[in-house]
Amino acid sequence: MILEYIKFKNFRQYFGEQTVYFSKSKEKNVTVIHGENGSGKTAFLNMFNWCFYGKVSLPNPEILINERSEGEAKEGQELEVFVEIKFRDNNKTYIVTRKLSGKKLSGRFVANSDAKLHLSYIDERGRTVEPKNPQDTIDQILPESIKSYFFFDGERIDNLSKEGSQEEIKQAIKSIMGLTVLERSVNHLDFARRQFMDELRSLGDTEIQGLIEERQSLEKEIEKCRATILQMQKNRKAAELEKLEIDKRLIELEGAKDLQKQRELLDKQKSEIQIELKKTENEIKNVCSKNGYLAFAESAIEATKNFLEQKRKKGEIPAGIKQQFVQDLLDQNLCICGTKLIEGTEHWDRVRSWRNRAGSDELEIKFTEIAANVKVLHAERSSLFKEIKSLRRKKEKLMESLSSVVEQLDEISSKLDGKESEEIKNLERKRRDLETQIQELDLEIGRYQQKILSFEENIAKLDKKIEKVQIQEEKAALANKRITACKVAKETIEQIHEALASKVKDKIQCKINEVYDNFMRKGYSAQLNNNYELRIVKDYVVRETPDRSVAMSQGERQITSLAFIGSLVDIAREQHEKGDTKYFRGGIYPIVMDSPFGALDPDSQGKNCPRNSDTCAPSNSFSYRFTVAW
Amino acid sequence: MSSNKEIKELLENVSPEIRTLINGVIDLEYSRLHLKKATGVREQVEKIVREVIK
Repeated sequence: MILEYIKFKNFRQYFGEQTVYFSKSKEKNVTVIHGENGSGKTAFLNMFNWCFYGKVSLPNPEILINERSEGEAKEGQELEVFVEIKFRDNNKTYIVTRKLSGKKLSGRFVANSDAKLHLSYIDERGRTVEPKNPQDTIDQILPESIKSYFFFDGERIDNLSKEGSQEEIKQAIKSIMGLTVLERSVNHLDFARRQFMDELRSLGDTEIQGLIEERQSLEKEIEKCRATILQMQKNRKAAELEKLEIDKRLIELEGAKDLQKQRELLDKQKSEIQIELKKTENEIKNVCSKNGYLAFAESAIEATKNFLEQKRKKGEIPAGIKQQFVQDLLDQNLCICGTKLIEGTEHWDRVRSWRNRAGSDELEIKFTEIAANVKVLHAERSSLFKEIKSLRRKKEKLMESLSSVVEQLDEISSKLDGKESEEIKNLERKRRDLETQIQELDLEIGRYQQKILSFEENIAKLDKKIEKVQIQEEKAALANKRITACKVAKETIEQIHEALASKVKDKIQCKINEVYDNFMRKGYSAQLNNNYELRIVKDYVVRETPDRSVAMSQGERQITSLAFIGSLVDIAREQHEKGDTKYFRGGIYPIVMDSPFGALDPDSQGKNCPRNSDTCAPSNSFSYRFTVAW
Repeated sequence: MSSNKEIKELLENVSPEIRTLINGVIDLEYSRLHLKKATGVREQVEKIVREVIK
């Protein structure tokens, strides 16, 4: 969607009819609108929302008519409010108008009916088309569900980089990149598979019917488990947020401030120790799975060593004479004692018999190799025990540190609980309850996840049985074929989705940093981690600490969130322009932003001024208040 | 994006019938995406499967 102009009449602060044209240049694609406080910049943003979706987020949203036009109109005079937007999308030019008509009655504007939406477009052949359902057409071009990423107040955009916004980030990536389509396809194919399963059940024999029923009941169980997990995850998130709020409040209270600060440090330490502990446990696991056999191989190593030693002592290995030496005597027809060796004679046969008894080079090499390996294995076995011992010692130390941190945390909690202030006491008790709740939820979630795994294993076993059952009837065979087709198609789309999501995430990560590097603190970069958390991290590592994230100011959060949206829009546009895959079509989206970078200092605002804007003069580059870009 | 190659490889591993099915379903989903009254999509997917897998 490339905006061309917006025309409006009598909308809130705007008296009469006015038009604003947007930059259409590919190189200079930013339009900046500057205005004093209260001059209507937020109303301007709301014009887009009203025109496209019929919604406004302003005080007194029901009053859209301009006060002056209402006041100057005569009693009974017809009045109108409208917003018209012209834009281009996919080689079509659209004009969308939302109009509210009415009359001045008893001194006030009274609308005749709800606002009317009209949409027309000029197609590739130059014909004008008026879709029957204009709202549907708008939703197809720029869905309402994602409008908040394109029409927004810059001062309130920092929420994307706040804690607990992973779901929103994930949803934004999916919606803007069009990955939702793949998710829907997966769900609908699964629905179709179930329908064919029902069909098969009604057509197949008793055995197959029983198997399918069993499978379906397991699937229902899995669904129930997933729904329970989802609910528990929501509850967990709510509890986490509530805990966070309590922490914020505690740090504000004089009596709790110091203890809360101490607790924050300890909490950080605790999570660092837990990560290190997990790492150590994994190291122990890796060492055991790689070299663990050595612990039980002592007798085998000793037996091999003794066997080789015996052979060596007996002189069997290495052998006294070599096969090649005997062969040379035979080839030269002369024994070492000077006797002539002629084929067919007794001497020839005797010497030849030694050839078979002599040691082969191959055997000699193997002997040397095994002897060396036995020595190595022996040494490795000793170092295995040493390594495990040292890792276990490390683990014990970490466990000790962890329990000491936990003790200190408990102590802080008891101190806060023992405070005279009722507020602190109550907050701490609530916090403790929430922590218990979170721990219990984690356990429950884990239990349900295990349940799902076991159900899935049983389903896989049933699938094998179903495949084996001979289906004679043609219809049943067809239903079975369709079930398999749905399954394969679903799995392939899931793989496509996974591949795209991971690539998109990597690309967003690079883009965010490109944007971020231009204007933020040196030595820091933005990161979109595997949990879809948008964070600022230190580029350098002071000490080996797993968490390099740093706290963000409101301004930094705004910039990080904007960098994220900007990156998404950029990638979506690139993909749309390439247009080389139907599975990931991308799109061109406008960004209409009120109060951009409002929370930044003037220096950073200057750095963030759109460089290519033809309306943004360098002298007042940081005083602009409203931006439209695409 | 290099993911295109990955997608191509994934699609090469399935039969032409399944490819047709996948494309049909994706087209349908795109055309119905964002529509508030996108009813009957499930049934239409089922119909596509019946048409493609005969």
